[in-house]
Amino acid sequence: MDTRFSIIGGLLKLIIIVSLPLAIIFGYLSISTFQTPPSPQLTAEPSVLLKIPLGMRQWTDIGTVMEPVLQVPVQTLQGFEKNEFIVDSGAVISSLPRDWAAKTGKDLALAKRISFRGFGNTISFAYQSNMVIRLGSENVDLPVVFTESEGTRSLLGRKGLFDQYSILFDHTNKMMEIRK
Amino acid sequence: MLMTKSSYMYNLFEKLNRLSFPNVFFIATFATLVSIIPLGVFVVQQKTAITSRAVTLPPPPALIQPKTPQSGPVPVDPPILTRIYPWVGKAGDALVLEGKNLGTYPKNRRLSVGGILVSDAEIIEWTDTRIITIIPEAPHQGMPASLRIDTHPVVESQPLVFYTVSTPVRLKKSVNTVSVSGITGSVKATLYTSTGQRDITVPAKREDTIPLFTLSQGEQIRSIILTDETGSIIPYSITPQEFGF
Repeated sequence: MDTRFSIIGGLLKLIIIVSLPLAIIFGYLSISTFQTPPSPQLTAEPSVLLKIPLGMRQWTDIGTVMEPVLQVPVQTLQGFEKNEFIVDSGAVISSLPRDWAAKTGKDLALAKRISFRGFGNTISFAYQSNMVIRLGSENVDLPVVFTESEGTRSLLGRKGLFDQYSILFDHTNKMMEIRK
Repeated sequence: MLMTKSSYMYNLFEKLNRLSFPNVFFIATFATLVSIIPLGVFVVQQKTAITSRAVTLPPPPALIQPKTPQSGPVPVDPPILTRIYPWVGKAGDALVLEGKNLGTYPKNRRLSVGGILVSDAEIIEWTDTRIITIIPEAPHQGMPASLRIDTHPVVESQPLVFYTVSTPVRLKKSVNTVSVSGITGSVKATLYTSTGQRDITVPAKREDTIPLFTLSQGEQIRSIILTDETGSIIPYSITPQEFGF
């Protein structure tokens, strides 16, 4: 009789010793499965400065292409003025047509003159300066070159932007985000 | 299954039975802590592996601008400079020299701008018809760009003008008229073009814009040198757009 009680009592205590950790572990896992988001990278709360719908452009020979174009206010002598930029990861530095130099109060004579090769191996000059743009509620000082041709499109290039901000092209929702 | 008093299992259960319940809970808690830490690490690793299935590549090596080639062949014919532009600039600005028989980074080359030898690091491009360089630090006012390749004779540009960001004198161009502002006293201006040169001497006041030259149709400026009464060269800046730079 004593032997049977000893076995039952010992078995009961063994079950307690084994089942308590298992219950805690599996309980924790089941709760965390419900509560933990599927991807911590996606749900981490980034500081999104700007969220813009991606534009579409119809090319005669290429077809429809998504175009990361955004209207960004640029600081001028008369306050901020919106300008259309293409986000261009292929551009080393942002660029503005030269007529923006006067608007932004930049004297090109005082800016550093750089050369670049254009179509037909011709040499053009650009003038390196800086511009202040507004991304969301934040004013951002970016290096820029004022390019030769008026009427050319403005670019947001890598220097100062791609190394300071994250740019997300969300093809599913056709949105572009600039995150801090 | 028959469990005798001498069997291992009996001994184990006997020992467990002798433990008090607080001790049992203590052992259970200890076992929980011991097992939950490695298990937790394992679970997190698994989740990370699941959520980041993208292939992660190592970062590419930093791109470094290739070094200037040290020695190309010397051109057979002597070098000729046909156009150097812009004729006015600051140290650090780009300067283009066009011509022919310039070689491609020829050996035994020597290029100076404003009397200062241009280092290899300051040369952006050197082809048979074009050299692009950076204006070196502290160039001498009015001195030309000078090029010597091997044993060929030295060729020079028209005199060049160098300025700094604090230079007060500004040369302007409106339609075909070149004028100057920000200067007081008698100013002698010399205009170099592709066809020759001409001078004018004018009295100037700092607050006025004084017309200097009217360019004829197709006349291209190669350089303009301003000198004061003592013959010293007056540095000036230009608004690039007005002169097509």
